[in-house]
Amino acid sequence: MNRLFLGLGSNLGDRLKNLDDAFKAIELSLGAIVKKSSVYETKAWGKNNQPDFLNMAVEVMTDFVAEDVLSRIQKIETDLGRIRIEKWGARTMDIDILFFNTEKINTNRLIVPHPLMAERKFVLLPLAEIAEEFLHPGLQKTIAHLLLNCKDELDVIKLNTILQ
Amino acid sequence: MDEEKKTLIDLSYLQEVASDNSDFMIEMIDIFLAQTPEYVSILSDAIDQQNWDKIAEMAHKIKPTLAFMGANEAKETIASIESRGRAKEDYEGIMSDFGNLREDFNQIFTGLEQKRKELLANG
Repeated sequence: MNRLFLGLGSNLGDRLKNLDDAFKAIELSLGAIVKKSSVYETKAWGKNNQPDFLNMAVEVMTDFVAEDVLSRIQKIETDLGRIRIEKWGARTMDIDILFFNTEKINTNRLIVPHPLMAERKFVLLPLAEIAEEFLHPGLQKTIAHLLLNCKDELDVIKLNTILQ
Repeated sequence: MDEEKKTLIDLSYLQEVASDNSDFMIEMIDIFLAQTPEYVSILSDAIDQQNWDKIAEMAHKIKPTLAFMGANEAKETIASIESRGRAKEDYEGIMSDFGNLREDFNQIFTGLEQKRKELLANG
């Protein structure tokens, strides 16, 4: 069994429904979601004429190896209608592999831990909520440590919405 | 000084971030107390030596951590020291602002030790 942390983001269409659809797809395709953060709202990153993002983090127990997880995630993104028009453009559903166990992976297709996570408050805030003591295998710092020192100035607001 | 004592920290943001999980709050305070006094001391040396790059670098490191402790006034001052450090200007002003800030930092550290005790007692 592998311990997998995913970051989810959506800024197009019915954003809450997209997250909810993603949970169902993750549980069907990858394995049980054992922890789920609150929903956070974040100003769109890299472009500012876009709707705000909703972001979350989840912990999943999966039998699949990392490369298979990536393929399955890409299929979920496509099925949920992700439109790859521009690099930092709007997206129905964006799913990133943040951690896969405590492994460091660097292949053509996949870099884990996610290389920019320490610089993104919209990744660290939800992740800290479900895994504040998890040690980043590359940086050898806890999520709480990375969050406290994160220099990202974007506003990330925790919403009161509860997704079951 | 007959000036009213300022409130230098406000943990309401941290409380929200931690969803009232006191272990998480204590951990954030512990990390802050483990690193920030050292950063402040390096910043102090950098100011003594008028090492502009180091002044900007250390102020940049200290700045985000203050936001989590709700030390917003100190954060503003540190941000301004950072930008003057980058511009390599107003050394006198930096010295004077940092002089005032030192006492604030001591109060911030003491205040956080106190909050930490309260959280442990209530947790």
